[in-house]
Amino acid sequence: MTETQPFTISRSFKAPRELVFACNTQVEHLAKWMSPAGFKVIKAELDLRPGGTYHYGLEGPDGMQMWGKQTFREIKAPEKIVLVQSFSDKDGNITRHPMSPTWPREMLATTTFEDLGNGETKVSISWLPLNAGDDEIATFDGARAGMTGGFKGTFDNLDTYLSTLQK
Amino acid sequence: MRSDALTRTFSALADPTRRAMLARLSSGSASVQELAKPFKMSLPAISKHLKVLEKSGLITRGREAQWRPCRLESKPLKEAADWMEQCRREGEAHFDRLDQYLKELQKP
Repeated sequence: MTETQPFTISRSFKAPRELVFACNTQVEHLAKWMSPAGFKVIKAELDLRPGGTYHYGLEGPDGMQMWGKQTFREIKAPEKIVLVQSFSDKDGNITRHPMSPTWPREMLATTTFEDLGNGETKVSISWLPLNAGDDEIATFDGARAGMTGGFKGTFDNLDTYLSTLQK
Repeated sequence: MRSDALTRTFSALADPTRRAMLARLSSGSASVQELAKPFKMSLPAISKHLKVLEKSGLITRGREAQWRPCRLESKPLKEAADWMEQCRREGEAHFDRLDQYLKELQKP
């Protein structure tokens, strides 16, 4: 298997760690913020334990449905959650990314909750393709290189270039 | 192996040498020799990278001149950038929503 680096994002929140952790692990909380605007939750079945799953379904304003499934590997309240994230169908069978057929089918997602003191918590999420083939790694690496800024200069140049073309 | 356009673009982008070549080309066309200059690589190795870029549609090579200048094609790069921007926005939006919800929960 090809080696790659994880893709990570993080942000600090003005809330105590226990609360932030609860918001990420309890269905009642998740239902209130997880889905994008205009999407309603049509299923949220959570079994929070190692080996357990979270199977969820969202429905967009145009009736389009999105299904996803997480399988938990490690839960260390209120510090850390390790899970395998995938797209799925309504029966919980793992599927491909609807927009990108070579996006990694399984992604190892690690979320850490760091107590910064003063009632602040830093949440970091990292994604790493799991059991991925070369084409999946390449898709992930290409996207990661773009998103983490290693490639930003090129896009800035491209923007400039495109604007000169369209003058 | 699936070979949709986005996959070909991302495969091409997954290599730092090829990204550096694209960065160079984003400021104008260049010959193979010019592109090769910053790298400690043989011309056949450079040429291999260029073939990947050409196959993915990220660059085209002129036929008019003998030195066959390489030129950046913006469309596939733009499509990949749009896709990444969407992913990035989803990540940010995820945090925005959590932030908003935490604020609501903690309203005095």
